[in-house]
Amino acid sequence: MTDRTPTTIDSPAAPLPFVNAQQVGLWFIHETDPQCSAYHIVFGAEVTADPELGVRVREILDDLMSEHDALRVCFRPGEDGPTQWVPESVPLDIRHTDARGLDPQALRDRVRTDTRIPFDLSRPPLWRVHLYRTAERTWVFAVVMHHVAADFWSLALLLSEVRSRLEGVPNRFTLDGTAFAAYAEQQQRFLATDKARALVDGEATRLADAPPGLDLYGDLPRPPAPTYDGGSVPFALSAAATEAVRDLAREASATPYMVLLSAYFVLLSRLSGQSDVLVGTPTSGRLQRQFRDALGNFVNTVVVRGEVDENATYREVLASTRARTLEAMRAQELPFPWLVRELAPPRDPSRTPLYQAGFAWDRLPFLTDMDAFFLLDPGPGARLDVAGATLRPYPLPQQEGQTDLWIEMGGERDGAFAGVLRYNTDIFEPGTARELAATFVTTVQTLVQHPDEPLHRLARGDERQVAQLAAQGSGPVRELPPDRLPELFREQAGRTPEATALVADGEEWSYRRLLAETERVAAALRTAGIARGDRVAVMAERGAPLVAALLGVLEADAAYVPLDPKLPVERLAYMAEDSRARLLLGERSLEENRPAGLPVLNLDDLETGVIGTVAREPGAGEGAEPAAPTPSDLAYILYTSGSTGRPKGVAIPHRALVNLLLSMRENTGFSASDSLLAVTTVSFDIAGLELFMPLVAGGRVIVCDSETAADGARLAARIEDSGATWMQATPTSWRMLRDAGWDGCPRLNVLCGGEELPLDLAEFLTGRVAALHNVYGPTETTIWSTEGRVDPARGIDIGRPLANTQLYVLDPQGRSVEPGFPGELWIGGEGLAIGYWDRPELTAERFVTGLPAAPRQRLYRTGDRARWTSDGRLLHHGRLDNQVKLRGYRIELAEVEAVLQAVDGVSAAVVVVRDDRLVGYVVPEPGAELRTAEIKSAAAVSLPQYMVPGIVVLLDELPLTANKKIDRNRLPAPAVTSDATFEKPRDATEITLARMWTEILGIPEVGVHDNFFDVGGHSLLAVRLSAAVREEWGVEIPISELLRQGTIAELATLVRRGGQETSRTPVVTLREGEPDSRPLFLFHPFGGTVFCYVELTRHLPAGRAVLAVEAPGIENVGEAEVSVEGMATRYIEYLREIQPTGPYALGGWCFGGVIAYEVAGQLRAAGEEIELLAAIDSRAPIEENIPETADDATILSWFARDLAVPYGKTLDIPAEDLRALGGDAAFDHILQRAAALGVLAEDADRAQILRYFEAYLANGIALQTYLPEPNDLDLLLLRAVDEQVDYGPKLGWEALIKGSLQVVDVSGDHNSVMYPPHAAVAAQAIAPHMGAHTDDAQG
Amino acid sequence: MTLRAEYAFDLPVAPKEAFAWLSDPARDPEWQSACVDTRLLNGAARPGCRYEITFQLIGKKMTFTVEITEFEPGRRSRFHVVDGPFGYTGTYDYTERADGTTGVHWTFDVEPGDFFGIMPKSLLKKVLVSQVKKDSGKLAERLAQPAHHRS
Repeated sequence: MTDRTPTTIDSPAAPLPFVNAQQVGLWFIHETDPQCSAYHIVFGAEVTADPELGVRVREILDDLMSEHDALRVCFRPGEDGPTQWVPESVPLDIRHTDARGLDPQALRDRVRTDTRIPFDLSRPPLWRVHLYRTAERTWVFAVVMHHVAADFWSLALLLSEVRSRLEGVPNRFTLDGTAFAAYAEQQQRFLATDKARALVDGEATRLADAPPGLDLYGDLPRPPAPTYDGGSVPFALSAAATEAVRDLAREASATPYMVLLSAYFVLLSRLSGQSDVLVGTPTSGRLQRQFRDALGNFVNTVVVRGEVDENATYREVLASTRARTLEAMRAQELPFPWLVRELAPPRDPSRTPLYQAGFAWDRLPFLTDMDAFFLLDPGPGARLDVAGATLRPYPLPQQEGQTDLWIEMGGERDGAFAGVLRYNTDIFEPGTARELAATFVTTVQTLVQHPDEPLHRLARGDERQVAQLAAQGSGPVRELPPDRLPELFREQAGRTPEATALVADGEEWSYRRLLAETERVAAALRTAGIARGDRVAVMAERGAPLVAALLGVLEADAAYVPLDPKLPVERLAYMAEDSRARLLLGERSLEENRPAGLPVLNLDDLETGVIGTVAREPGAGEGAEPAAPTPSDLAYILYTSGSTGRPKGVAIPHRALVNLLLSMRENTGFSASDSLLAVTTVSFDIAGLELFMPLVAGGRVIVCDSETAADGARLAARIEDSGATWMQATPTSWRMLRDAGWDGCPRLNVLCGGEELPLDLAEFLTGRVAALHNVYGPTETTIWSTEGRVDPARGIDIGRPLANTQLYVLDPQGRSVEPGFPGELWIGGEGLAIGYWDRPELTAERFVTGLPAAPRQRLYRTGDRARWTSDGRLLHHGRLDNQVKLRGYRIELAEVEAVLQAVDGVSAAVVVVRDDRLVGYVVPEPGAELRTAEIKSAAAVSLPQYMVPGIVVLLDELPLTANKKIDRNRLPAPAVTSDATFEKPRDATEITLARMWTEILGIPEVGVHDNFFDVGGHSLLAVRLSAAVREEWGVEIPISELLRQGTIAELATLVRRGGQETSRTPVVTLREGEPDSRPLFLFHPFGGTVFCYVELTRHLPAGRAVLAVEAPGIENVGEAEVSVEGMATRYIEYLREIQPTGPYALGGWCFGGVIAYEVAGQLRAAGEEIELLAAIDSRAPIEENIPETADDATILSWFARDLAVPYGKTLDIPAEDLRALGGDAAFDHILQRAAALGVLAEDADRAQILRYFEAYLANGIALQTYLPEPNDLDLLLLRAVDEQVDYGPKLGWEALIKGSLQVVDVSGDHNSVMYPPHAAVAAQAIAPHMGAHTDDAQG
Repeated sequence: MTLRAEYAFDLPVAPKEAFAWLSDPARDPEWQSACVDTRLLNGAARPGCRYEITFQLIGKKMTFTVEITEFEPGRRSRFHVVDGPFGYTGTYDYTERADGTTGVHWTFDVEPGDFFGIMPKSLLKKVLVSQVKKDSGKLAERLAQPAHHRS
């Protein structure tokens, strides 16, 4: 069906000397993602013509191809980025498809797919034509050009030229196909000028302290790296708004572009919650006349930094945008990729640098009769006749996904500005994008109509959106009965007196019995003097009497204050005192915990009456007849934790409680045949639903004791035995059940609320229970305000508002935000509390009347962030105060938690910020063996790096509040120090990478956790780094991986994973030397690794390479050598590969000096000259220096000690302790101790550390069995003068060295001598023997 | 788990002299650097001879009672532990070279159990071979010297 023209390409002899920086940037993006089609420029049209015309077009294109170099360019990788080539001849790439059998939609899909087929930038041409024959005389064609080689202007020039040649009229331009090369050269020269430098400095100032990212609220969590996948939504302003835009532009001496950009800033500010907004905007780049008619890519992007203040007027915002745009345009000659490199902003691989939203204004001064052809929604009827052919627009979406959001305007339809909103599908769903486009149109129209009003006074959203929000935010209107709960219960008891109302402690109470008990309690209370409006504290064990007590208090027209006997007595006393409870309704068994000072009426001894005296309420009229109770009376006071640390009482009226009970009864369909297993403590308001809803439906309450409720296995059994059809609990409780092995219950309906419902838990419950309902609501709006069935496939929303309840998602000014926009959730309606008990100021702050969205309604401010989706679902985005900013990035802790919870084997996760680092607390599922490194890796798959917790702590369980919610305040401090302590390279791979970095970046040193892009790396340097890694290890690391895994530690892992299986020479280049200079060879100490020499090398004189030999067993299992002689023989082979003959310079610290001695001896025996033999605090291998009992436990103890040395810490574990533990237990013990001390990562690779230990052990054995003969060698011995252990003034070497023995005292002890600050002193001592002085010595 | 270590080396003496050095446990302390002491328990070396031998290796001191099971001067000897912290069986096989010197093949089958703690078995094997290599090298040097310099 498809026929593609075969290509044969001549190779040119040499590349063009320059590539412009914009092209370099695009080439780099293509390198990171070769499948990326986001930079394809596409033009589509439908043409009806005679077939002969096609032949003519082909001839024209053939001619153009050969005439213009710009159409034949390609790009190949060079040493420092791409090189540009222009082959002499390149055949056309025209792809024919017979589409006569395809329906229009299938054809459209096909064209869309074809236009996204990626280019290979090394294979010209970088443009092609797709031709689809749809009828005998009709074709659809699509021209696709890669932006690296052409811009939109070039495409238009080309179309114009083809059209002129077809029509046989001279074009108004003379196409220039070679100027692009001159442009690149000119740019290169310009960038080296002082003017360019001054512009960069200006840009640095202008963009200083810009936010690191535009945090747009989207539908999906941002992936770690952009995929460049996107979608498009066309939109159009009204003609009136277009005119108003033009008028406003004229009045403000601005352009329509600036007016619309200002509106875009407002939109982005509202979508992100940021006032400081960066937007990228393309400029043509054709500032000079000579490039006006040139083919190629000249487009450059500038960043306009907008500022939005909702108190300002639109005219003021426009004035600011105008000034800021002009300021940005001053630097438009600086190519954007180059500027990014120069400014080196904080790098986040998940986003495009500097800006994440774009605004383009494309308006051609020619081809004006083809305007409609460049619109995504051109409208019907557009056509054009060219050379006997008829062209109609065939709009094709293109250039999608380059940034999170992109608006392109400039075109007009029917006299009105039209445009397209492009969005990244990593972030936004199509419905949201449509709302955003609609909101942009409304925002423009509102702003231009009221340019002199402060923004915050202007309404948001269009009519459709406002109506939609009102409809989906309002629960059904239901008339409430005049009754209170006691009356409702009494009515039910009257209807079904013999039905079972309560089951508790193996006892069943009928409705009749419960009513009788309730009346008995009420009577006793009245006798005790309790009257309407009084508060009665109720403190009873969970059971039937508790329910009777609560109902009895209400029956007595008083309000209850529930006290959970399990709470601390101080807290109970506070609640009783703060509520001014007049009486405590208790039980004799709970006397000990009772708040003191209150008169008590014992439920189990009502006849005795009150113990103590019930004081009269101050101000209560003696003997006065109390007024009849009303639904507005106080029903209960529920205490919740307060920000001051003292609980605050929420005063709930009867009406609110009745509204909740009836609404939930209706929503759930709870009936007389249902029973509910009540598990929640009475001090948590949701217990009210459990205890009362069944009683107003004729059903049963099964009261679960608190011990069973807290035990997953027992609770699972209780669910099964009880026959309950409903249960309500927090996600934490449901998770507890899951972890206890509960596999669901098909008859059970689940209410889940009180915390955010994690998706994985929803997935677990769905299918295992009859139905899963998510419920949401603060105590202040009476238990729940929303309820909805959960379908995990659609994600988690919080359901619909209950009856007589209104929900509002508002911005800080109290306006409803548009669908898709984040805001704070406010709740109004019958569920609202009276307020906070005795806290009028707090009540006034949280319960507000007079907001713009609902001027006459009293609303409760939840403090929760929410968002309406385009299809009317309400999403909860965590607490507003659960959002943190770290290093400038806004992070939703709930989002990180959701990702951690989704990791296999994770049961629960909480993320907090400690010491400016994200700490994840993770509870594994039972039996799951989790490693924190694996959790972090798994999280990094779906989170940007800055959102991956730096520390993950495994816990057996999360601390909970009494209400079974997670208690973040009681999370333990992370026991492990941060990874940041591991800054030095730890093995040969890391050392080599660190050296490459310092060389490429031109910096003195680098830590293994530094990000390449944070320490000055940029795209082109990444190319060099990738090449260096390839050269060193033969490992291909794509640049995209470098972006994602940008630290030395991460790269080392990649290298090891991709490295050769065969062993390699264990010689590490610590520093390159000048050509023909002899290296200094250093030998590993006991530990086997050579990172101890990194600091020394920094201070050794420049010029000579410093190479270090590490123990072969470090990298490869089974390679450890157990004799010094064997090591020396083997190491000499390595040395000779690098330096075949002497003189040799050799040295080492500790055991390394001993190896150097043996190597020197063997080389000398082979007739070689030894230029330098240096031992740094090495004890001579003589019998006196061998410890007597260096068994494996002793060596393990030394190993532990030496693990801590590089970090300046002490880890002394007595050998006898390790001996007692024995074998693996001893080894694991030191790993744990080292991790606790922070010298080993908590998730250190045990196998690797074991390999290190084997090498260490082998070295220990080798030293013990090495008793060499004296040798005729000279030795430079550096003695660490602060070492406590005395091995004599020459450390015993006088017994072995028959030549000159020069001892130089250096600072430090045996362990610290190789680390700062002492290593510099050691280097200074060695320097004179290397034929130079140290840098330090030179000052 | 049995671990086998083996090593072949030459001694610049005739097989019978080599045998007299290596296969007589009484002389072990003279050439084995790890051997601290030996004590013959029931007479001179021969099949059935038992002796006590003490080693100091890798910081551990260990004493074994060993019985010689094969004893063919100039050709082969074999011995195994009858009591000790772990078991081993050793063999020396002697071959006369064309120049009259001796090729020795040493084989050592050990069952170290947990005696060497965390030390990997592969490392232990290397240590054993390394010891024999060093010791036999030194012995060969010694035997190469004129007789009066050997003691």
